[in-house]
Amino acid sequence: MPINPILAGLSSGLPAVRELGTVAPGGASFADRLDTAIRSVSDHQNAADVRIANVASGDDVDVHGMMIALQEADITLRLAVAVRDKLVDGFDRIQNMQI
Amino acid sequence: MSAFLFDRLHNGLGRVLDLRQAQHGITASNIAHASTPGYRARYIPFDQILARAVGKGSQLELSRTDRRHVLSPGADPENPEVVEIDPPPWAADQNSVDPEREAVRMTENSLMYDAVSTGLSRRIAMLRYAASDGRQA
Amino acid sequence: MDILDILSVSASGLTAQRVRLQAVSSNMANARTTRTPDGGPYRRQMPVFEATPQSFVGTLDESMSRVSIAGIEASEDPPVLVYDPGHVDANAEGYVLYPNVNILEEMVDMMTAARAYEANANVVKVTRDITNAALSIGRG
Repeated sequence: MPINPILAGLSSGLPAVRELGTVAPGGASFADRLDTAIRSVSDHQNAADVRIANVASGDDVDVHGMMIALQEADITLRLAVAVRDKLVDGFDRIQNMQI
Repeated sequence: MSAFLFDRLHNGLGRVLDLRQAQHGITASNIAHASTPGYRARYIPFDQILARAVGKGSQLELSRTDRRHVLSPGADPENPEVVEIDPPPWAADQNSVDPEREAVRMTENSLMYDAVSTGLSRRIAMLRYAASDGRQA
Repeated sequence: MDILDILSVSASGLTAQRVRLQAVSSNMANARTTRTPDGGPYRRQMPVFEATPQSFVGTLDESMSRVSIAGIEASEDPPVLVYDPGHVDANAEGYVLYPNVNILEEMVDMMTAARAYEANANVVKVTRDITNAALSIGRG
């Protein structure tokens, strides 16, 4: 699968977040949650791309299907960015805590 | 860097818009020549050429199991084929323009132009959002 | 094949249909004109159109061409003869030569030309729509 340029920019905050480690035994780590969010973005981007290509080639002219898929991709992207920002923010706070 | 950012689909969509605009120009010419003796109406057949433009053609090539599944050379997005329509037997002036056919073709074509340009536009907007690291709306 | 070329093609189409309407108008106004400066009755006017050769240069652009008016022909159809020896313009045999204009034919021509004119105007509208769609790329 070709590298999605949108995800490349999105994952710029990842390495810092991975250092946070596990939240609690049995619970998902910050990194896991971010992984899931990014994968969801990738799936939705690719789904939207397929729909755009189908409309453009005239094979499956489902216009509202395409628009909905585009909006879903947009929303999941923005949500993932918001999650990443919150996580990085939290990491920064923890880093700067005086012990 | 730009080849990485603006992928095959991005360029393909631009090419589809080129082809749709070319079709519009040819339809405009047909409609303008509704009264020109001997004028043959023409159009670009879109069955295969658009699929190839967005990169779906390669999948078709892979799945060809029958020798008859041939991609016609006229389906090259860079060099589209233009088909002429023969005049009907009752056309005294040998003009083959059918105003209703042209009007329907133009409506469908402009509708599809809108759909593709909108898809391309929203996709670009997402790229821009990601490229500005989520800062720009 | 840019937008401006496409607009100029439609403009030529509008002009061509307007010339048709003008010919119809002249024909209908002169349907009973028995006397013209060249002598003889008025003859039906018929504009002749042609595709301007090499309107545009380029592979696809060759499929597009503007309409031009090759000329206005006078119909060679024989005049309508009406026996009326008392008429000022009656000939030696007592017949008056009336124009070879068929009013019904002219009315059909007029309606066809008007619809064709509207069709070209609609193309201009769609051309504008396409341009607006292109200008919106990246805004959404």
